[in-house]
Formats: sequence, C-alpha cells, structure tokens
Amino acid sequence: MSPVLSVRDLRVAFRTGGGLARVVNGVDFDVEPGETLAIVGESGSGKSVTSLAVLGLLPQAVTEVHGSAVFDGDELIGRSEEHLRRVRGAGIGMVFQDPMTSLNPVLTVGRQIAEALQAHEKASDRAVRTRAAELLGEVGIPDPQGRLRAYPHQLSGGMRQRVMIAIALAGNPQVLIADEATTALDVTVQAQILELIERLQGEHGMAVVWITHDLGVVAGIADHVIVMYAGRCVEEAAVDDLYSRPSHPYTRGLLSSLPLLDDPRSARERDPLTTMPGLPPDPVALPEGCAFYPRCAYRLDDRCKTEVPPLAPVAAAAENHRAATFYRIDAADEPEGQR
Amino acid sequence: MTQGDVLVRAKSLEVHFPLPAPGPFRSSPGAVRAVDGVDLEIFRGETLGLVGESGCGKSTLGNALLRLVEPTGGAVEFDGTDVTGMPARELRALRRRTAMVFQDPFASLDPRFTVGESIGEPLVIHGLHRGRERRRARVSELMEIVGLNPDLRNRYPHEFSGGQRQRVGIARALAGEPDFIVCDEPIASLDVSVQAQVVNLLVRLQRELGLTYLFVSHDLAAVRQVADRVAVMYLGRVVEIGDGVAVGDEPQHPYTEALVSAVPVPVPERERVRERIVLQGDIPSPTNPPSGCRFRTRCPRVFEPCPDHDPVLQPVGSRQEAACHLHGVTG
Repeated sequence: MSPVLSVRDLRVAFRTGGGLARVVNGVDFDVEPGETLAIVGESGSGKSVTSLAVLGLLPQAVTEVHGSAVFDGDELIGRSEEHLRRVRGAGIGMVFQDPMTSLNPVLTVGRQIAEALQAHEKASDRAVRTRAAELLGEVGIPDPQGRLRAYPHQLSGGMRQRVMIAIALAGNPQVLIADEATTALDVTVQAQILELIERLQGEHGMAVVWITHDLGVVAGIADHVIVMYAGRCVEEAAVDDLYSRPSHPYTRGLLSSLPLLDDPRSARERDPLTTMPGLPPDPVALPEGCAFYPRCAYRLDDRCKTEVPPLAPVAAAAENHRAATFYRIDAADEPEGQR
Repeated sequence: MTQGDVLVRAKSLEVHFPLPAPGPFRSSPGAVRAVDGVDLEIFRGETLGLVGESGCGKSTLGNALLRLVEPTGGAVEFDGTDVTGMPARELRALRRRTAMVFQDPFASLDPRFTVGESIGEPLVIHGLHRGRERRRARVSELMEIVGLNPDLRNRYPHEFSGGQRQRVGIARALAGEPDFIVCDEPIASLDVSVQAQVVNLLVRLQRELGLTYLFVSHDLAAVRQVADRVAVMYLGRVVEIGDGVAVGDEPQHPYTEALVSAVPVPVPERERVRERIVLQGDIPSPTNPPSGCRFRTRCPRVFEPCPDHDPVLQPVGSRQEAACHLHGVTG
C-alpha cells in the first residue's frame, strides 16, 4: 500500500526579531491509509508546526517552508491557497486543542457544520441541515436536531470537541490530524473522545495523525510513533518497539520520567522520578551537533557536539525502528527497570 | 508520620458562590455550590492528594482551607484553632504558617519584581530576617534550597523557563517557613521532562523540612507519586478518601473507579487491554446537583436508594472510606 501522506525533509523557520527560529529541521514520515501515527514531543519540538506547514496554515509573511508533503499523489508545499482549500477538510481534516477558540462564538453549531459541508459540495439547505444533524449524531451528541441551534458556549468542553470532530468529518477526509485534541479535557472526557475517534476511524477507514505530548494516550491508540525534539525526528518505531526498547536517550528519559499510576508501591516507597537536566534548545541558536547533546546522559563528546546524528535503524533486525543517536543501546543495557 | 496529629481539619465545609440576579427586581437564581459539605483531616507531615475533574471544587477547597475564599458554612481548624471567624489581625500570624504554590508561576509572579524581590517579599511582610543583608542572605538560601542559582536573583520572571519560575514560586512559598502548603496543580502547565524535576523537588522539600501538603491535581498518576493519602472530589463533595495505594489500586467508589480507568498508562500492552469505564454524559451543574447521590446520573452501578439517599463517607476495609450505597445504604 502506498502512503496517503508522505512528508520529506520538511523544514520550517520563522523570521523573528531575534533571528531565524528554525522550528522544524528536516522531518520525514509516511502516513499509511487507516493507520494511527502519533507525533510526540514537548512544547517547541515542532510537532504542531509540522502539521500546520503541511496544510499551509502558517503565516506566509514570516515563515519559510521547504521540503515536500505529498498527499494522495499531490504536492502540497508551495501550492496556491485555492488548491490547499480543497485539500483541507475534504482530504485532510483537522481538530485542534481548544474547541472554544476554534469555534466561532457568534454562530450556531449547525451553521458552522453547514459551512464546512458547503465548502466542498453544493447542496440544498435542507440536505445540509439533515447531514449536519447526522454528523452530530455520529459524534455522539444527544438530540442532534435540537443542538444544531446551540451556540458553542452552551456546550461543555467535551461536547465542543465533538462538534469540532463533526466539522472535521464533514468533508469525509482520508486523514484526520488531531493536534492535542484531548489535552484540554478531563480524563473521563478524554476517554470518551478517544473512544469516539477510534470508532470513527473504524467506520470511515481514515488515517489519524495524533499530535500529543501524552505518552499514555499514545500507548493506547498509536500504531506507529515519531518522537520529535528540537524540530527533528529523533526516534521512530512501531508503538510496542518504542516503549519496550526506547533507543534514543531522549525517548528513554521521557519514558522513565513518568509517574506510573499502577505502580503498587506507596509514595514513600517510590524512588524519585528520573529527570533530564536542562531544557530544550532555543530554536534561534540551535547547537551545531546533536540538539540533545547538552542534556544527554550518554553523549560521546567530540562527535555528538559537532555532528548531527542521522536517523538510522537501531539494529539490523529492526528496519522500521530508527533512532538519531551515535550512542547505540545494545542488549547489555536493556532499559533499566523494565516498565 | 504519626497519624492522629491533625494539622488541618475541615468540618462540614461549604463554599457557595451566589449567582447574580438576572434583573433589578428579581432574586438570585441560586448559588454555585463549589464545596458543599466537606469533612477532611490532614495529618501533620503527610501529603494529601486531592483529585477530581474541572469544576469539582478541588481548588476552591484548597483556597478555603487557607481562607483565601471565605467559607459560607462549616469550619476550618488549623493546628487546633478554629480560623473560620478569625479577625484579619490574627489571621496574618497564621498566614505565615501556610502557603500556596500555584499552577501558573508566570501569572502568580509580579513581572515588575525581580525574582529576588518576589522571594523576599514575604520576609518583609512577616518581618522575618530584618535588615537588607540578612534578607539578602535568606533569599540566597531559599534559592539554593529549590535548586536555583542565587546569582539569578536580579533577573525578571520572563527571563526564566516554566520550570525555573515554578522553583521561584516554591521558594517564595517557603519564605515564611510554613507548616502547611497547598500545591494547586503545581505541574499542570509544565512540560513532561520538567514535571518530574518539580515533583522530585516538592517531595524532597517535604521530607527535609517536615512540611504538610495538600497536593491538588487532576493528574492521578502524579498524585500517586507524591501523596500518602488521596481524596477524590466530585461535584463539591469528597466521594472517596484513604491510603494512596488503596484508592489507586482498589477504588471503592464507582466514580474513582471510572477516573482510575480513564488515566492512560504509558505501557502499550497494558494500555490496549485495559478496561476503560467510559462515563456517559457530562458533569451536572453545581448550581443544582442531583438529589440523593450526586454521581447517580452518570453512575454505571446506580440502584434503588441512590436518588433518595445522600450517601456519607463510610469505612470500606481498613484503608479507605467511600460515600456509596454499594457498601451499605447511608444518609
């Protein structure tokens, strides 16, 4: 199967008062039809900017975008706004973190879904209303007919996010990008939304690109994972391989810094959490070599400081598990404290 | 830690925020019952974790214990003294013994103060370490305790990262040498790799300084890492409280059960097979909570007594209490 979305050597820089902020520095990934790809990283890792660049949603006046993003055989980078408009929604749908700021507060929910429907096809008002109510029902909103007349502020956070998903589904996209779509929600509501997206994915056969910082969410939903740091992919693998054999020092650090809910020991019996010293680098002044070098516990001095490690298979047997590190974690030092 | 030595106690505590009247000759449509009858004891030297979802009243409860909001009913005792009706003069002496660490250290630090001034301000207010030099020395000491280089004292908050700002917030909280600190979502706005640093710092400080914490958070995994006991709130009430391990591993209230099951675990093979209890619907309005048990409208195990009887906390096993009729009808 050929990928539905293929990104190659994507680079994004913002012109700022302080200099050129290099936020995405050569990212490659493929999204296969129907799969869930998770892009994981902390604030400033470039995970959101990557998806915004693919859809041409960054402010052009201050942004430099290079590289390639091919959707369904069609290059997206550098295309006209008119062309991208047809792709957004119909080809690639997007759900953002905060539904309150992404929805228009002065328009009813029905009006906003109708707008999304009419952007892609001509239909009678009546047909549009029917379809809008259907979509609301599909995302699990009770009394969909009545809710068409509701304004965003009349809905709870979870319901608003369902409306956003209904809007994203309006164009029947092949890829749904969910950018921190459950971050602002409570865990029980997050569980509802995760279940909803899983169900919709099964029904519509769409691929989902899940952008998040939450490694717990990723463990439950992803097929494949990309870990980003300072605008680069530092590790990628099938979800089980990533968690059982994290091979980049950053991934290992992230995973072992998480408190575990189901650790049977009491708080007093637990060891302190593993921490990574320092902070991610300033995108205006990226280090010459590996961007993780200043924080890395495994660094090999001269080489890591001056050379950027390429993304390479971690072992001959694991072609799809790749990490960008000169330090090779071998069988002798399996991740300590197997999680 | 000796249980039984109660430092902070809430008795039938209520905080109701009246809703504004819709017009000049119309009465108020009621009140938001943010905290609606909470009995709670916090033992000296322990960390009590307080978990719950947005709007459950957990932050308001934390604020009410410090009298940062006035309770509308019930009482708060601090170290054996009822502080509910205490006049402002006396309250000030008490304030030194309590402190708060906020979620967003950027919003809680004055941007026009250097961090040294922010950390030193409580010393001035409480008349501690009088004199410029002694105050300066104490600020340096506080900065070192929280892992900040004292040379950064003349910098402003915007020059710091989120994690460093939270350290400033903690140093400021420690300035008055408090016994009791309410940490209100202290790691919620930090990045994952920085959260662990702040959690470890708070735990270390508690052990070194013998502090008592109320650790308010929506993040149950983080709470399990730091809290000796855990209280779970739903719609203005504590629905379960007890030993942290017991509440996390063997929840006795259906809401706690759903909450625990909804927290994603970062281990794919466990996370995929875990039974998530997905609650239906939304949290009801705290203006008009359901009759009887407040959780009954969403409870997967609702039965006959739930609409008529308002359950009270009752012991379940030796390590926790739950307010649920499944363990015998109460209320």
